[in-house]
Amino acid sequence: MTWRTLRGKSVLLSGPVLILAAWELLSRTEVLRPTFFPPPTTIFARSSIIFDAEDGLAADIGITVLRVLITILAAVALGVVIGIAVTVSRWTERGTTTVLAFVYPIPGVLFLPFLTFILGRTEAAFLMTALVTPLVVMVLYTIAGVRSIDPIYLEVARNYGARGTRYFLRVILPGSLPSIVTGIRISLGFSLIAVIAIEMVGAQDGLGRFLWSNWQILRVTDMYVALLCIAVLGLLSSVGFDAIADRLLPWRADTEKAS
Amino acid sequence: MSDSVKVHLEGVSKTFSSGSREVTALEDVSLEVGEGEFVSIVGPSGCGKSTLLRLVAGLHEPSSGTVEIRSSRPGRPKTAMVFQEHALFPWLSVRDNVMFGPRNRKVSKREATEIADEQLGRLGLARFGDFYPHQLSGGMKQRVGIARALAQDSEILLMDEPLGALDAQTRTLLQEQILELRQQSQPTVLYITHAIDEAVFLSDRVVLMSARPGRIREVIELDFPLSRGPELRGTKEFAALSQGIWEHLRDEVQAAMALEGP
Repeated sequence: MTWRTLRGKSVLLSGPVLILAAWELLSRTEVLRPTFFPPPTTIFARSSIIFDAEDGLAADIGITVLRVLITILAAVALGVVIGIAVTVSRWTERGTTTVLAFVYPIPGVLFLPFLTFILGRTEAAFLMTALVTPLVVMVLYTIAGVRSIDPIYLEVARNYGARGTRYFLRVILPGSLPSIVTGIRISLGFSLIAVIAIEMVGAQDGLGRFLWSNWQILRVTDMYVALLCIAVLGLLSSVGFDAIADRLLPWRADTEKAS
Repeated sequence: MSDSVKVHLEGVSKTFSSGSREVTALEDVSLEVGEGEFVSIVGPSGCGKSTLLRLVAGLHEPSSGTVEIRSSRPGRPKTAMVFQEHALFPWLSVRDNVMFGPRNRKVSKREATEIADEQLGRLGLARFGDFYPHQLSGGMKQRVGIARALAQDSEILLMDEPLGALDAQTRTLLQEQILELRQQSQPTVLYITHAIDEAVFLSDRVVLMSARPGRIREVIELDFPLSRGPELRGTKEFAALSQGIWEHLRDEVQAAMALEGP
């Protein structure tokens, strides 16, 4: 890494560092009540509870990560298939987008009560609730992706006799992939938000549950540790995904030049 | 349809409706292209040349009239089109792009690879099979587009202003390469261009079209031999013919410009 890129990264960090320094100062001087706003250094020091043997946070982190992974994988698999399938006709596409435009702004957690009526307070109900918003996003972005394919590629496909599975796998899917990748990036964020929210109100474990129960008994520092973990998870997921995304689209240089 | 006729268009018209407005792109076009013949279509922009090609390709249906392509053997693709802006799939390697047609016809992977490599070799692109389109120059991309069409071994090759987007020197070189391909295997070709010299250099016949609605105004037979070479461009006959075609076309181009408005 060159000096230049290092300096570029340190610029990115300046904002958070400044906020944390101000917080530390205000908390230490008791302008902010340390009971509710413990100094960041105390929170970082307390982070060792992640590795505690019996009531360690590590297990909760693992469960939350697993739930997010299941949610995003299901959202991508189902969303892409549904998204491509409904573009077969204008009617199914219009019908779907209208319904989804209606569902999309509803906070995903609100589906938990309905799903528990059917499934009880089970893991399945939690995961399906978490799935709602990411799935809607994936379907919408897949439809947009199919629509964004340059019509000339569809002409080539027809003139060169592409049909059935080959048509979808060689033309439609790769053609809509740039939009699908953007959809995954957004869905990933929504998955994390949904899983944490559901854990707070429903589940018996996970980072959201840990945060919520520590808030209820005012073990404030532990609550902040959970919050920190969630923030780090969110950061890692987006940075991690960006690293994979470029490999999904090796031809991206071409499309960027064209647009 | 006699045996030597490959494509037969009879009274073909095409009308597009956009909203409440109807636009007639082609009106009563009749044309025959013989086996192994190279026919160019020249006309002002917006005269329906591309529409005509898409009708032959089966990408559009004619509003009236018929388009027939004689099949020489079952399973042989009827048309393969070279598109104006190369239109290579950016997500497929050069080889996979050329294999696209054969693979769609259920040709085995090994055989399709052989076909692709052979056609790429013919166009001087043997080394570039594993490249992606964005790594190639404009001229190379268009050669891949031609290789992709040749890999189809179709009844008729359709070329829609294939050199239109290239710079003058690349275009001249590619014209010569297309002429060589013609001399090697004598495919039946319907070729669209707005460059008169290109049409005269390559063709057996040049079809002149009128401004919208597109009609055939004139068909000019050229009697340059197939064995012509680049030196043809320097001859007096070549210049005279090109000039003659331009005289015919000038009115139509002016009419087309008037249609487009200021």
